[in-house]
Order: sequence, then structure tokens, then C-alpha cells
Amino acid sequence: MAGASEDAKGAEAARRAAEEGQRGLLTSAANRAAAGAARRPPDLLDTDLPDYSVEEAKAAYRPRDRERRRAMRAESVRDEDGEEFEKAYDQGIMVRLLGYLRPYRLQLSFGVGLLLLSSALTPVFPTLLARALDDYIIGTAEPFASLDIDGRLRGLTVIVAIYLALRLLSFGIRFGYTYLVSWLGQRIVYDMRREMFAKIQRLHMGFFDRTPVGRLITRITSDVDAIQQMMTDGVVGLIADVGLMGGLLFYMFTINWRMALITLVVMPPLFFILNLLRRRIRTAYRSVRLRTSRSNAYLAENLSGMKTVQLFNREARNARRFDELNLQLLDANNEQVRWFSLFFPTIGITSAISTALILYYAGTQLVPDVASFVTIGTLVAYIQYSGMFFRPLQDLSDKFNIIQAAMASSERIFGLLDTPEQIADLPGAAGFESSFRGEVAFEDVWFAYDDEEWVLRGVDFTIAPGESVAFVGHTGAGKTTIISLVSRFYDVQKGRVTIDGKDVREYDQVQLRKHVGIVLQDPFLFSGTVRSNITLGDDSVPQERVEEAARFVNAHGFISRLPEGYDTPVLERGAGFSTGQKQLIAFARALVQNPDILLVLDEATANVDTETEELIQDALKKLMQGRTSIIIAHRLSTIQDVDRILVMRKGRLIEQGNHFELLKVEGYYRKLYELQYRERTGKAD
Amino acid sequence: MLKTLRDLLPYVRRHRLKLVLGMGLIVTNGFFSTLTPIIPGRAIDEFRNRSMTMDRLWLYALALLGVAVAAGLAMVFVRRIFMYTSWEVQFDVRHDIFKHFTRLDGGYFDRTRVGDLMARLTADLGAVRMLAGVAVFQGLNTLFLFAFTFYRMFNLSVQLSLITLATAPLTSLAFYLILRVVHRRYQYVQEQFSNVSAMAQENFSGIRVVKGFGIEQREVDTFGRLNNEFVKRNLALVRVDGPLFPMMEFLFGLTMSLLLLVGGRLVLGIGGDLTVGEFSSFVFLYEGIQWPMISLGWIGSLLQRGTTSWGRLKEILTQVPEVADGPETDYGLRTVVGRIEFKDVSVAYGGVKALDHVSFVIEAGEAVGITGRTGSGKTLIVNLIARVIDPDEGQILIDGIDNKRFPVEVLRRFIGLVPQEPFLFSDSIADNIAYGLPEAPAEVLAPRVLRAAEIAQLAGDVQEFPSGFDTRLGERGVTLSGGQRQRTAIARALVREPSILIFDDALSAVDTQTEARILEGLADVQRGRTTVIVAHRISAFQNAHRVLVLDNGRVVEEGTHDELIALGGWYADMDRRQQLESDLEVA
Repeated sequence: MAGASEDAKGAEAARRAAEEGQRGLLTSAANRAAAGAARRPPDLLDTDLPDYSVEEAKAAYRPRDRERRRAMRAESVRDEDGEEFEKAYDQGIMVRLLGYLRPYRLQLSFGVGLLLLSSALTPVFPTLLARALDDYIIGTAEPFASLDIDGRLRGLTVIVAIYLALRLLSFGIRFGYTYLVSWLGQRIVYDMRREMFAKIQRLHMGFFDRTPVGRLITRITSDVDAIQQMMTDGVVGLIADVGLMGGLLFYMFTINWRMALITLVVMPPLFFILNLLRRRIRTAYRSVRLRTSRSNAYLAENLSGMKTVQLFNREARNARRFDELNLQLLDANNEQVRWFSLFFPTIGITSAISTALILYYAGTQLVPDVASFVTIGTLVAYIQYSGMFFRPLQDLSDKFNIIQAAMASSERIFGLLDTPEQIADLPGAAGFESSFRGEVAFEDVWFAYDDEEWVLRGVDFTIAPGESVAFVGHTGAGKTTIISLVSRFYDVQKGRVTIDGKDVREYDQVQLRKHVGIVLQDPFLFSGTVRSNITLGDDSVPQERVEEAARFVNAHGFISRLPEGYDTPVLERGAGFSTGQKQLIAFARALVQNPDILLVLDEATANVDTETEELIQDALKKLMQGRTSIIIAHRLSTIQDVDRILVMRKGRLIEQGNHFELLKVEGYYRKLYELQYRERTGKAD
Repeated sequence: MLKTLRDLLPYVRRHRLKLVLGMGLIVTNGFFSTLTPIIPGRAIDEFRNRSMTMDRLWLYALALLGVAVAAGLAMVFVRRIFMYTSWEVQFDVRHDIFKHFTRLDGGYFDRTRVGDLMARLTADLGAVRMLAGVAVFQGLNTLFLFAFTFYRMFNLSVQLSLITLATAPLTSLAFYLILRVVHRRYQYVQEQFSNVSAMAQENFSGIRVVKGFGIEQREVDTFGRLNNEFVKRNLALVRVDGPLFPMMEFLFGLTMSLLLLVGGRLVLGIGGDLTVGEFSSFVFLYEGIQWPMISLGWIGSLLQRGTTSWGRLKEILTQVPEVADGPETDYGLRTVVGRIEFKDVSVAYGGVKALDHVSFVIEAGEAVGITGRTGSGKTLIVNLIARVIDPDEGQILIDGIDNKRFPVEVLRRFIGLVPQEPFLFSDSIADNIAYGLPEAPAEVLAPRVLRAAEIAQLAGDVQEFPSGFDTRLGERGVTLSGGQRQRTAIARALVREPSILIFDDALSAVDTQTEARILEGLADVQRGRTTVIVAHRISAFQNAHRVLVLDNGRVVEEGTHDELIALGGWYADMDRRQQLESDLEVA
């Protein structure tokens, strides 16, 4: 028997599993599975992979440096959605951006004023320390040399008092301008968000068909954030940094220009090096971001499809692919660490060079003559100055980057704000007259979405005021489009849609839609309460009216059984409510408006129980009474209740008449009817 | 906390050599970086004593430089060592968790939300990484920095050291306390931010309702209100966040005033003796520990968050898979012929019997249809055959052997399952079809992929795509219709040449003509394979030898098509209705 070699193999596998267990985290509970797996022969399946060790993969993952950097640089241009990270400074965009600051000129100038004041104040502190040292503590020069000990202590105390007072003032000023600047940033973000949101509300339905919701969310969240960052950290930060550096320069040159020059000599090369490091860090950081999202996307996909992964024995291969993605991520992370680790030590070493230079230069003056124009206090002050100079210097290149990122975001935001509104009101668009009748007519209407195939091909019909009609036909026949056109979600390419003899394009859109109540196929519920879903957030609708509407459409029953009745919270997308309940709420929503024309997309869904089904049918019947109603019908009962049935097929109207007339014709409708009827009896079995 | 973190240790232990070196470097850095403030002070005293010469001045400048370079270099490597380690820990944890996921059973993934798992693997793992990296090294670094600084401070002046020591905890504490408020207010801000974007998200998704009812203005107002609250909360945050650093500076200034006041007296010879140089050194030393003092509070919160997060990750790692190989597994079983037998099988969900003592036999090579209304237990049978789940009662025999004795992988290798809503991956169509094939170059796989796609009636559709079989799914533009997805999944199952082929309502989104063509192609492939076809449409059973009708978890009708029609039950009725429907489609 091959037992011995089998055993040896098993032992080897067990050892490996045990090792893994030690490294990872296998509790005793998970050991059973591991024990099974340990005996697994390595060539059990044809899909088995050759031996693989993570450690070796890690060691092997070292593509040549230059290649790796090039890959990272290439990745650092665009984000996951293919949108650019940054954009060169653009005068036009900047001017338009600064336009948002105009309403807050006063606050802005006040903030900048405080900022400059703070910049002027900060360099005073080392000077005070120098004064204390030189005048009162050392005090070898006149008139301080002749001061007695009490005089010196008094002087010292005064300086300390001034020092503390100025610190307090500085604290106040800094808090003041931080608050002011943040306030400004928030106001601008508020204004921009609101403007964008309002703009989006005005855009035509075709825009939403094309644009993923996620992208719009990015516009009003992260893109706006980038602009806020630019306003507060970027522009204002730049002013603060430049101001502080200016203030420092002023003091340093005033006190001792030679010392100032010596102190500043290291700054340009430092700025250059830090800039370089920042750029490398940024490139690596963006790679990290991109690779993180890639690895996460892979993970999320595998988690969602884990059953498939397992059914197709892909566990090992996918784990290896996941490792690969994570190795790439690891590499980018390490690249970032590599450059970042140089950042602070560079500053530290430069600062030491600067101190050494100051010390040396001061020494050349002090060694021959202690009473030279360089004093001990000055020496200490300049060492502190040079330290103070580093902070704005290290942030400077970041500021420029923030501005570039904001440029890219602004361009996208302005792109959205400048999107033409394809469905706009004509100048002087009409409202509705009180003599509104509710006649709907299509006159040779041709329509296609986005210049694709024709969905409606020359549709002609008139619906008399108060008449109820049902559209029937197979999926894709163009029924839903009819409803979208009455509401003017889209404009027709040929022909016209009229209400009371007037083209819908001549009405004020909002007014038009207020007269046209719509019930959608997928009754969209908003988060809020049951009430707010019926009133659509209009608090002026009294409770009686809400209840009346709900009662009328048979929704009151289940709503009053809810734990908090009409105030029961509704979660996102109406989770927790059944489809039938959602539909009833949608009916109530339409009824509260008391519309003159009713449009209903009525989808018979399989998962509505019989009782609710009957409630819905009854509600619909009541809703149609006395209103011009257009129903996209799927339920037989609905069809029997309407005045007229219009049968559509492939974008054309092929039959019309009432239920009995159409049945007599023995045409398309008859077949549809028989199918529906049989289905219902089938269900009743 | 330590108990929770014990299991994290193995991940770190592997790097122990590097970490010991890192520790050494941290000490080096602490030693040298606290030496930098001493040197200028000494020089100042030499100036004052007039003992300074140009040569010694050179020496001082060079010493300053040398010390800074030593400290700086040490810091470079400290950061690299600790950060590299933390990224490796993240890598290893991700590796282990992924592997663990691949072992967990289908039920686990039904119970758990992907979003939650993702959050743990991203945010929580991030917190653990911060704990293993930044928190550890900044913590140690701060510790040694403090140790060296206070050692040097006490050497310079006891009184001044005591002042610093007295005010330092005050600063840390103040920072920590304010940070807590900041953290809370930050969460309020984030909360409102989610509200704002959730509202926008809902508005954009429900734009048909918004426009249909003409409530745009009200929506704009609501959005404005939410935004206003967002602004308010942001400003509340700024009120604590804004003064945080200015206040720290003020506190430092306060200590500095005390140092100046007391230090000045000491230098002047009142209550002690201190040279100007020593005093300057002291001031520089103090400046050196200002920021570390602040960072202590931050490190504390990193430790706290990392520990909680590790707890959450451990929950995943300790999940035990319900379907797995065990001691009873016989690794000698390496192939499946295809006979399936259910012996008195029951499965319950939440107290309700979803399958109720079901028994049947499907012979190897036989084609059997299963039908019944929604919820009658059809998919459950499919999942039991493929051992996605195990039954509560009874036994499932494959080739006469209890299916628990088969290695899970072997079962799955020889069972081709096509689900109703197939999960496709964002790879090319070719990759998706070849999903279960051994790894091989594309040109080796291509003929097999094409053949499978032809049988599944997918090849024609794919050839119309601009990049054919290389078309990637899920990226811009290319989305397959429901029918195309199902046909891709059929090809994916066929290409493995399984012994048992299962269609779980896999033709529901395919029109009848295509269905007929697929079934025609399958007739050939089916020979020598066991085929189970779950469907609602009778037309899908044209190749089936027998059909089982399920109702409420029981087999209620069973027989050939003709027998069932003759029976005049549920099956016969369904057949009548579907005849009508097909008439309609022709019309």
C-alpha cells in the first residue's frame, strides 16, 4: 500500500496547516475544518494549483523600481471613476470661484485682517525672550548693567507679563480668524450645494437616464469639499503662511540682517527637497487609493459571489489573485512610507544645519568680542525663528496642490451647473385656468429616447375630460412612454401632446405636473414618515385630509395598525413595507393632490396577497371616478372598469374600444385577455 | 484589552527581528534628538566664559550636525520598519480572512451583509493597522523621548524640571479632554453629512416622483434645511476644534512664562545657580517635547479604536463553516458518476418545514424536471444536491454514497449548477465562461469556451459585441440582458463537463425560441450526464424523462409528461395556460 508516502504527505500538510494556524488565528472550533483540510491530497482536482507560498510571492513581487514608479505615476492622474485629480490653475475658473466669496466680502476682509495681525504677532515671542535674556538676565550692556537685582526681577516680570498678555491675545486672534474662515468656507459650501441641488431639480429626465446617481452625489459631496478645502486651507492658508513668513522676515531683517541671511540660506534648498518629497508622497498616495479600491472591489465582488466561487472551485485561485492585488497595494504603501519617512528627518537635519550656521556665524562675532552686535538673546531668538520658518515652508507645496485639486473639482461642478436644461419653460409659460377640463390628446406623436429607435410611431388619440382609458400591450410596446409624455418628462420629436388643446410645452412645468397625479410602477417611498410620504413633505396638508385620502384608497386600515400610525418612520426605499402597501400609499399620495388628470402605472406584482390586491383594485376604481385617467393596466379588473381600452404594439395603436367590443374583434386583445383570465383562474385553484 | 490583542501577536511576531532593531533605533533617536538642544546651550556658556575658540566653535557646529544626522537617520529607519510591518500585518490579516471566507458556507453569506463585512475589512482593519504601526512606534518613541528629555532636564535644573513635569500632564489632559468633545462633534457632523447625501441620493433616485408631483421647490428647501444643520454642526465643531491648537500654544506659553520667571531668578543667582546656556538648553528641550505631549492623547485613542476593531475582525475569523470536509471525508473519492438519491430529507427554516421528508431517486444519465410554485422547495433541492447546505434530517446519496463522505470540492467539481440569477464577475465574457476551468493560456481555453457558448446559444450575441468574448462585463456600457446572463452561466457550467448538470430556473429570462435551441443543443450534451431542470415553463422539460412536481416541500406529482397530463393535476393545468401564452407570442 502507498500508505507510508500518503501518511508522509498528510503529515507535511498537517504541519503546514498547523503553521498557518499559528500564524493566523485558528481557534479550536475551526480546527475540525482544518483537520479535514490537512489530509487533503494536493492533487485532488484538475483545477488544483501548483504549490504556492505567500512568502515567496511577497519576495517575488519586486518589479524593477523604475517600472514600478512609472506605473504609480500613471495611476496618479485619475481616480477610480476616471476623473482627474488635479488641473492646472485656470484664471477663468478661479474668478468664477471667487465670485462665491463676494457676498461675504466684509467677513473675508475682517478674517484676512486678523490673520495678518496674527502673522505680525507670532514673531514677537522669540524677541521677547531675547529681551529678557539680554536685558535683565544677562544685562551686561547699559543701562541694564547698572540695574540692581530687584530692578532686574521687576523688568523680567514685566516682560513675562507682556509675554503672557500677547499669548492670550494671539490665542484670541487665532481662534477668531479660524472661526471666521471656517464660517466662510461653510457658507460657500452651503451656497454651492444648494445651487447645484436646485440646478439638478431643473434638469430634464433624459439627463437622469444617462447620469448615474453616484456621480451626482460625488459632485455635491467630495467635489464641493475640495472647494471648501481650497477656500479655507488653500487660499486662506496660503495667505497665512505667506503672511507669517513675511512677518518673520521683517523681524529677522530688522533685528540683524546678516543673521537673517544666514538663517534663511537653508530655506530654498529645503523647500525644493520638501516639494520633491511631497510630490512623491502624493503620487504614491494616489496609487494607494486606487489600489485600495481595486482590492476592495475584488473583495466585495467575491463576497457577493462567494457561492459561485465555491461551486466552481475557484477558492485557491481567487485567494491568490486577491494576494496579488494586495501585494500591489502593499508595494504602493511601502513606496509612500519610503518617501514619507524622509520628510521629517529632512526638516530635522536642515534645522540642525541652520542652527549650526547661526551658532557659527554668531560665534565668529562673539568669540573676539562678547559685546558685539550679536547678543546671546539674538542667538537664541534666531534659533527659534529658524524653527518657526519651517512650518509654513513644509506646507506650502500642499497648498498649491489643494488649489489644483479644487480646480479639477470646480471644472466638474461648473460643468454640471452649465448643463443646458432641455425641458425648460417658455417665457411666459401659462399656468392653468380655472376652467380646466382635462382633455388629453396625442397628435401624430413620434418619440425616441436619446435618438435611439422610435418608441412611439405616429400615435394619435384623444381622451375626453373625465374619461378613463387603459393602455394594454406587451412590454416595450410604448405604454409607459405615453405617461412620461403627458407629464412632459420628455419632449416629443414629432407631433404634439396637448392638454385642453394647448401643447404641454406651453405650460409651466411645475403647474402642469401639479394637475397631473402620477402613480408609478415602483412606488418610490422616501425616508421619513408615512404621513410625509403621502403629503410629500408638505406640512400644510391637514391630518384630516391625509386620513381622508388614505381612507378613500383603502390605505387607512393598515396604516392605523402600524405602531405609530401615520407617524411610523419609513426607511430608505420603504424597506419593511410590502409592495401592496407601498402602492396604496402611492395612491394616497396622488389623491392628496386632488389631480385633474390621473396617470397610473399599474403593475400586477406576484407578491401581493389577495386581500391587498382587492383593496388596490377597489382604490383604483374609486380614484378614476370623475377624472381623466390614463392607466397602464396589467390587471384584468382594471381593464374592465375603464371607459375605453387602447391596445398598443411596437409603438403603434392597433386596436381600441371597450372590453366587450374588443373581445368581439378576436384580435390581439382577445388573446391577451384569455391569457390573463386563465392566469387568474389558475391562481384561484 | 490585552486579552483581545493576544491573537494579533502572531501576526506581529514574525517581524520580531526587525522590530527589535526598530526599538534600538528608537532609543538611538531619543538619545540623539535630545542632545541637539544641549549643544547650543554649552556653546552659549563658552561664549559667556570667553572659553570659546574658533576651533571649538567648529567642533560645536559639527557636533550639532552629527547629532542631528544620527537622530534623523535613526528616525527614517524607525518609521520604515514599523510602518512596513504594519502594512504587512494588514496584508496577512486580509490574506487569512479571505481564505477563511472561501471556506465559509453559503448560509453564512445569506445571513451576513456584504456591506458590513466590507466595513470590517476596511475601516476596522485600518484601525488595527494603525494600532500595530503608528500607535506602537509613536507610543514608544514618545516614551523614550520623554525619558531622555526629563533625564537631561533634571541634570540641568531640578526646579525647572518640576515645573515642566507639573504642567505637562495638564497639557496632555486638556488636549485629551477637548479631543473627546471634538470627536463627538465630529461624529455629529458625519451623521448630518450622511443625512445630506442620503437625502440627495433619494431625491436623485426618486426624481420621477419629485418631478411628477412638482415638488422641486420643497425639496430644495428641505435640502437647504439639512445643509443648514450641517453648517451649524460644522461650526459647533470648529468652536472646539478651532481653539484646540491655539490653546495648546497658549498653555505652552504659560509654562514658558513660568520657566522664564523662575529660570531668570536661578540664572541671577536667586535660589540656585543656572547658567544662561543651561537655561537656553532647557527652553529648547521643552520646545522639543511640546508636540509629543499632544500626541499622547491621540495615541490613546488609536489604541482604543484598534482594540475594538480587532475584536470585530476576530468575529469573522472564528466563524465555523457549516459545510466542510471533516474526519469522515474520504479523499479517495475523486469522481462522481451521477446517481442522486434523497432519503427522507427534511429542511426547516425558522420552524417551518421547507422540505418535508422528501425521497426520490435520479438515476445516473437520467434527465429529470422539477416544477412547482414559488416557495415550494425547488431551489432547496438544488442547493442540497450541490451541498451548498446540508439537510436537517435524512440523507443524500451520490452514487450510493453519503454525500458528506465526498470532499466538498469533488462534489462541486462534478456538479454544474446554473442558478436563476447567476452571479457573473467583472471579467471578460471568456473568463466568465472559463471560470471553473483549470488555469491555462487563453488560446487553449478559447475553443472550449466557444463550444460551450454555442450550445448555450450565446455565441451569436457575443460576436456582436465590439470586443467579442473579450468584452468585459460590468464596465461602462456593457451590461448583459437577463437572458444573456443566464446563457453565460449555462456555458460556464457546460464547459466543465460535469457529471450532474442542474438548471435552477435558468431559462426563465430566455425567450421560447432561444430556449428551444438551447434545449436542442443540450440534448447532445446531456447524454451520459444526469440532468436536473428546475423550471416554471413546461417547454423547458422537453428533454426530461420525468418531472417531479413540488408543493409545500413535498413531491405531489411525479411521472413523464404524458402521464402528468393524463393525471389532470397542477401540471396539466399549467401546461394549458402556457399553450395559450405561446399562441399569443406568435400573434
